[in-house]
Amino acid sequence: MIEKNNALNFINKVHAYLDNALSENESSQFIKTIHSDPALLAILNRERNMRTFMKNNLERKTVQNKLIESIKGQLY
Amino acid sequence: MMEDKSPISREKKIEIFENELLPHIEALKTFAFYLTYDEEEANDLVQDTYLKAFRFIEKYDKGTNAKAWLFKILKNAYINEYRKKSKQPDKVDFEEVINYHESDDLAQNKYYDLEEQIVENMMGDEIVRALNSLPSEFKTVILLADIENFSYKEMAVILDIPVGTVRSRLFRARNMLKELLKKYAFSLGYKDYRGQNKEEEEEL
Repeated sequence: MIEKNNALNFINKVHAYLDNALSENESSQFIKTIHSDPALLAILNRERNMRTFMKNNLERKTVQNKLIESIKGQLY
Repeated sequence: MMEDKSPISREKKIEIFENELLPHIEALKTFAFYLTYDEEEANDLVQDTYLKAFRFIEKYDKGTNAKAWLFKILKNAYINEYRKKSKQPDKVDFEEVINYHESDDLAQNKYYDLEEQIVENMMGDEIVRALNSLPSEFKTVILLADIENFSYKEMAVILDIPVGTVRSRLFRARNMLKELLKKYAFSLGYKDYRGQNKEEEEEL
């Protein structure tokens, strides 16, 4: 089980890993670490699920042609 | 990306505009919408962004990161011109929420178990409402990172802040969002709140 005083560092690593901000070596080391403890793996999975949930539920907006035509009309 | 270039022909400007800048219009519209929460203002913001981009197109290096350049223009336009008249004032005393992150609570499984159940029981409108409640600086980093997949370095350029600040702001923003969702779930009874008490729902 992760110690409390290491928790923030671990969570920082989780974010960096999911944000693709770790080097290849750091990622490999991180994966080894989390697979050594199911509780750590669970934290990673929950964080990943949260992001997936956000991505799936924040609607991407569409753009109507009239906006594009309006922009172009003011430029050329 | 931003250094002065020698003048380019109008035809070349239009070619760059059409091929490199316009393809990002839906991403810009999405970003603008979640900043303003107003369809019309979002369209205006996107339009202003493209007009500015065209005006300063000599400062853009063809073939480089057009999306990041456009997002930076839009973010600056929003801060300078739109936020003052926004219908969505910042609602949260975020220092209170940030204190959560700086405590030891992250090491407690109870929080994460709870959070997992909240996510499992949530619907999309709740995440939108919670995101909308964040101060714009924090909402912005979540949108850039989690919706548009910008790297820390790209966000640093867009926001004009150091990479370390991007990282810490993002960390705080995500915790604030979770805290809001947790409070929201509790306020609605947590386990079986769906369909209950719409008046409480309006309070977030």
